Amino acid sequence: MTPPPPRVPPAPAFPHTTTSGESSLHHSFVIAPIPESNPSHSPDDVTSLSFNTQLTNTSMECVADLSQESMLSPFETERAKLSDQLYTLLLDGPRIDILAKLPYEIATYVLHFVDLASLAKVAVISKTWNLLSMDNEVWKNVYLYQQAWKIRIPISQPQTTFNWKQLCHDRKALEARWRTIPVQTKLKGHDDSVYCIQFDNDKIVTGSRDHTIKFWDPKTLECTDTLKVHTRSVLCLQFNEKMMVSGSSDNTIIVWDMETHQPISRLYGHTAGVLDVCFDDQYIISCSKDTSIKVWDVRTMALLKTMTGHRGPVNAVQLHQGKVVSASGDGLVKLWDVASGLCIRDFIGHERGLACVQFDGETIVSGSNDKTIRIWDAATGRCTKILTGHENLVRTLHFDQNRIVSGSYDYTVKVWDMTTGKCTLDLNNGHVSWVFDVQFSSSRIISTSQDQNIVVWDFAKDMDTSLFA
Amino acid sequence: MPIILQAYDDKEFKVDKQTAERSLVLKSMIERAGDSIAPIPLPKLSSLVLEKVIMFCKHHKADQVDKSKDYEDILGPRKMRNGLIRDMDEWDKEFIKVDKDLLMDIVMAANFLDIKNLLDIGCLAIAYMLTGKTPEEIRATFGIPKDFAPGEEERIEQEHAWALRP
Repeated sequence: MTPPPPRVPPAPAFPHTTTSGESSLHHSFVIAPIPESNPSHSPDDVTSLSFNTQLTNTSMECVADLSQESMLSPFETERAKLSDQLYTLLLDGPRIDILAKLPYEIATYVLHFVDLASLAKVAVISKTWNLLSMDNEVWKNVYLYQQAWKIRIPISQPQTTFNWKQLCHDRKALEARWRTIPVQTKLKGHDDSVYCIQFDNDKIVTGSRDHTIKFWDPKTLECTDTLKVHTRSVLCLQFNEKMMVSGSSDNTIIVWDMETHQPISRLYGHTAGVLDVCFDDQYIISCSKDTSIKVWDVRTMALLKTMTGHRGPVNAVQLHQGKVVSASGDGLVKLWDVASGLCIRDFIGHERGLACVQFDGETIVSGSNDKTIRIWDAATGRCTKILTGHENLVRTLHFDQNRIVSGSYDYTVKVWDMTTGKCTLDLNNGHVSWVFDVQFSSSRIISTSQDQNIVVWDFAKDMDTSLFA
Repeated sequence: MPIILQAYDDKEFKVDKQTAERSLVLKSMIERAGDSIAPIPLPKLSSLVLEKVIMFCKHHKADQVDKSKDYEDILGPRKMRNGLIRDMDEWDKEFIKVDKDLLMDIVMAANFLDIKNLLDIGCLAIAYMLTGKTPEEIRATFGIPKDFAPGEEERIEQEHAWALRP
């Protein structure tokens, strides 16, 4: 037989790539009880988070689960165990320079399984190892998989020209800045509480209690457009490059053309404020203070179904490939199958109402009036981590592979390490009232508040971050 | 009908079709030959290595097809982090606990026969050996002499200092 040529490791398929203009995430918002000191606020903006379910038993279960988890699979222990076994064996066994003996393609493929710090050590072992450590594919793998960093690929620059080692170096420098409070800039323009935000490379879009949606230029930080069609507070919005969907305490949803900024359609159906919206290329999902979740056809704008089951206002929804995760004032996170309209699972553990939730298909992260953030495994329903540190209701959160950013009624925005669950940064000097919404990119956090301000926290001052997503 | 594989020392192994087809190279040979397949000589593989490879294929013969997909699909980015595979099950861990000579031969055989899962597990085992070690420990593990010109090691170390910062 003819031996096949050496296998070249497959190029990773860039699952995290986002093109500019495509904003993958959307966050969740509750409408909060209005403080008594502000009597001018109308009651329809008030969403009850006080629906306080007594779930002490289930909460204990969750804690028990946690301890089990930490005994069963702390991956470092597991790795150390395997490593020890191999190490013992290897010190006893022959000392052969495997990487030097393997063909280049396989030797560099081995390095696909090596982390950033170890790769730096590979470079200083010997001339041969040093050569292997310079392989561009290896660094690409470290960037995309070992570090789970995302990249934005400009159309003008084919990715084959990327120097992935340099990208790792620059990205690492940017990540290091996430440990200290960065410079902040305030966007002023809304005349009342700013309830919601989404941004991408080209624009920042915010919705406010002043009934308007504003567009801002992310470079100049100037307001570039103001849309006023909703007749009450704009509570939630999500956009992609083609359209934007906004929900309001006027009980309606407006679908906007992203190019012209004109309304295309207005969806009626909810009987109370629309607290959160999200959409993909199939559905628009909305949730409301009326305790229902509605599913709309994104093309015809027709109401497809109404999913009921929550016993309190539904404060947040997130859609991922036909599955919806919702968070309610009734203290539950629910996972729904859109096609059947059925609730697949309840996530029980929070001791008070929920304000926010995000879901990436695998992991669910929720924030609650019990002041905690919980991380759940969507497949099993298990709570895998409880993050404590906020001193009041956790109103909003956004997460990616590496971190969670949360905003709270304790006026702070906090950054958490997704793996350890530890709070790594406390942004406590930006807002003077409740934080309503937060979103982050590789280089920025933008948070909005009842204090009418939008704060841009910029970690990348004087850095070129154009390739980092 | 069993497939007969011949190692370079002429030792023959009878395997069922499903087991043999874990190797994409063997799979395409079997498909081309149809029912009248002759014994397949594998002159690059010793019977020790071939036996090990067959053991692996037999154990994994009923795996879903997607288990032999690219490692990033099996593991997902989150599981790949920090150079760890959480999905490597106990059987695989035990299987790959072999000395370095055999490990290297298994990796070469997996590559030659195009058995993706085995290649990944073998490469991962090698990666484990150097993860979390100092350069001195790595050199000791693999018996590598320093061959840099004076000052060169320090220069390379400095060049990579950024990667070692917390």
